[in-house]
Amino acid sequence: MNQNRREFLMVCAAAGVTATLPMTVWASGQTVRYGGSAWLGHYPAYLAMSAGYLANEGIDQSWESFGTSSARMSAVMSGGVDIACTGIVSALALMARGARQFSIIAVPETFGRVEGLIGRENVRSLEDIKGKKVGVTFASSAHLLVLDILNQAGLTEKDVTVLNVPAPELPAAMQSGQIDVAAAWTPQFDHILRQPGAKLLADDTAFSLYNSHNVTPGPDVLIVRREFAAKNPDTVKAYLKAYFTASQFLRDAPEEAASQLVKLTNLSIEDQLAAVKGADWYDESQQAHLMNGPFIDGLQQLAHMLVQYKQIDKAPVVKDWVDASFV
Amino acid sequence: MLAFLAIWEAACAAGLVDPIFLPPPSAVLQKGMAMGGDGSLLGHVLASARRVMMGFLAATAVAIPLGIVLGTSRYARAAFDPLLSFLRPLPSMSWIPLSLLWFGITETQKYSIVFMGTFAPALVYVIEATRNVDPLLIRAAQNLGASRWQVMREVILPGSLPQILSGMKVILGLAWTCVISAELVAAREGLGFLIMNGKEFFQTEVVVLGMVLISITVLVTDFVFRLIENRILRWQQ
Amino acid sequence: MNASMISIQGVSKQFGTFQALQHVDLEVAQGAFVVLLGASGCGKSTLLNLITGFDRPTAGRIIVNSREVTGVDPHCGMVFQQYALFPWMTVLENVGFGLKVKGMSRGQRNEIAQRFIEMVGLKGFEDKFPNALSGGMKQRVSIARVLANDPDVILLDEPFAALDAMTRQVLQDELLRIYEQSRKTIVFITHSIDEALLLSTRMLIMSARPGRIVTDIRNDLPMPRNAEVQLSARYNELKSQIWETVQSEVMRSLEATSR
Repeated sequence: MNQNRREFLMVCAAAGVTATLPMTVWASGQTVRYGGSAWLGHYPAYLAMSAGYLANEGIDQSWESFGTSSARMSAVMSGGVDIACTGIVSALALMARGARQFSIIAVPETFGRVEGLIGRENVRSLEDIKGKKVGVTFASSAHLLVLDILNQAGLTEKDVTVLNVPAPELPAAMQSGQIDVAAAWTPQFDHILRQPGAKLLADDTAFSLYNSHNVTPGPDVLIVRREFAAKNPDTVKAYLKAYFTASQFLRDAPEEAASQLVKLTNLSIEDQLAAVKGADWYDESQQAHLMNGPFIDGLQQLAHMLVQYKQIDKAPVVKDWVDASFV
Repeated sequence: MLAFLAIWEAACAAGLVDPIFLPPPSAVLQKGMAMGGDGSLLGHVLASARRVMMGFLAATAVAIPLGIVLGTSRYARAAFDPLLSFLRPLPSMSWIPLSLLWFGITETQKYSIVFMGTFAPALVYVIEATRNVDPLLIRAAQNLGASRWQVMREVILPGSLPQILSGMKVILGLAWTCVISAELVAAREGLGFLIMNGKEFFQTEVVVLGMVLISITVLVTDFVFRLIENRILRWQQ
Repeated sequence: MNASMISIQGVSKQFGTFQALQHVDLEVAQGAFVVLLGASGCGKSTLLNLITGFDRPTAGRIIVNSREVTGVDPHCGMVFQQYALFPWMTVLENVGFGLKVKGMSRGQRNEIAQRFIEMVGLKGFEDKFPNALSGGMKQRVSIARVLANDPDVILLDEPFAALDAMTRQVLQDELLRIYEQSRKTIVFITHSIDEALLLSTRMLIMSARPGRIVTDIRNDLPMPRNAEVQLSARYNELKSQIWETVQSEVMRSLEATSR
């Protein structure tokens, strides 16, 4: 009996090894592991895959889904993800700790209208917010937006109850009246706006850093794992080429792009189109200016704001992480 | 224990371990003192402890009498068994969506998570303890004239108490697990929230601090429990 | 004619296919000290359980003090070999238990319990818990507990078997003293012929399964049964008479099981 079992295991092991061999041989060029989700910042990466741009560059992208930025960043830190788009807050938190495992290599887009505060029938404007319950996912860009908006209106935690609600639960919480205001981003943002009686109170354009630096509470950046970039610089360059081709696609043919993206987000085609159009997609030529100028300053201001709200201990020097060599 | 801490500290100081992945004990202690100083730490500990106690007390208040009745009556047990078999394997986290719908984002919702996670196992313990009461004692009580209810109250309850109490120690540990998972969702304070929030901002020493505090608090509650147990069970000495 | 305290009429008990007792007829007079003797498994304990109402006969009926036994009845107080004291109650609380379930107030039942604790010679131990007591003391508490309930009949199932010889002797004397004082009807099970001769007014030898009463002997040895009596000729006569009967029953039961 033991002999048979041993033989069986050896056959399995052999089969396993031979099964993986062709994969590593077939992978024409390179496999890049991308950390994504249904969030709009990942649209270029997804499109680059679904429209075949990456395949043209000989890159095989493996899509890893993450529910939160912090989970995605943890995967980058531990080497499970090579390239990802991430909200800057998680990256800033790691940078504040001195983490050197990643660099910022591009800025995908800016969005102002796909994240905001939405009120129920009893909250028609920001003045009505006093004494009400606001639901937001803590430690997210929406959370920072809420803190900033309240600060601008001169309100504190004593005037408004801020409750920690995970993003997927926000629509239900609004519907059942457990919260009066929801601060969400797409796709929950869109779902909630569609609820009867819902009214947009403020979106990212009301953020205090938006007018001065064109920076939202949680701008996206594209990052790469340094170890991966050091070993495969040409792959990263090729990746970005395909990536920005997709960005251009989003700009020039939004309807066509939307029809491919619904497979990622499960939004209705109208909502998907609105989301695509709701962002300004940056192309390759804009990157140099973005990575060197006021946008980075804006990120630095954001870091200071996070320190002010006690979300991180100290502000890192953001430009120490910027690597513009691949664009 | 001290040796372990010393090695840990040295490894971090020598740069063998990236502090983001594992902070040195000195950093954890520092953070703990800073948070303890501004009063926020106590708030977290008390919040979690309160949720544990409410859920645990509610669960035991229902499980003990119900368990004694089920333990004594074969028919009641047969009637209840299908429901119990269904409830028992469900982890407390699976109750979170329903509890959010029923109770909203309130403290009651947190208590309910602890309750749902501990009620079924507690009931099982009580039923076991009840059935382990020496049948001779029951006979003796009946022989002395006790009615069915008197046997339950005067013999089965105190007779099963030692085993119930030791079971409750386990259930209390389980309650802490439930509270942590309840606080990962929709909480603003508490040790589970502390860990979750620390994780979001990669403040690993806060995460470790949270874990250490949970451990300490459980040990303290365990100790207090033991004191109570010794008082109630002094006849065992 | 003395009205019987216990009347066992045509009682049989079957457990599945196993016949424990077969057609037992017995009348026990009030104030008798009846000892049941016999080999293991001949149904002595079963009979006691039927009298106390822990079990129901398959056939026949039992009447205690003019009432038919239909369930557990505190009028038949049982003293168990394993004492069955409630370990979480003090001696005082144990002894007063039967009174408590009757609804008596604490003051009253403590007073009565105290009396019986003193009667069994345990004055000063009222606040002790059972696990602080020796086997002999536990059995005394057990007896006091039953006595406090004022039953019509006291049943004892090999109560002293687990005790050492010296303690046993002391307790046998205690029991006799209590018997003489209270004149309760007692049914006592034992393996020991000496014990039977020492305590009983009447000895019943039971056969192996199915259990029946084989011999019914009146114990005419004079009270008190001191050393002189225990060494007398009549004592030996009775003893050898019983011995032979018991011996043959044991042999029969061994043969039955080995077949």
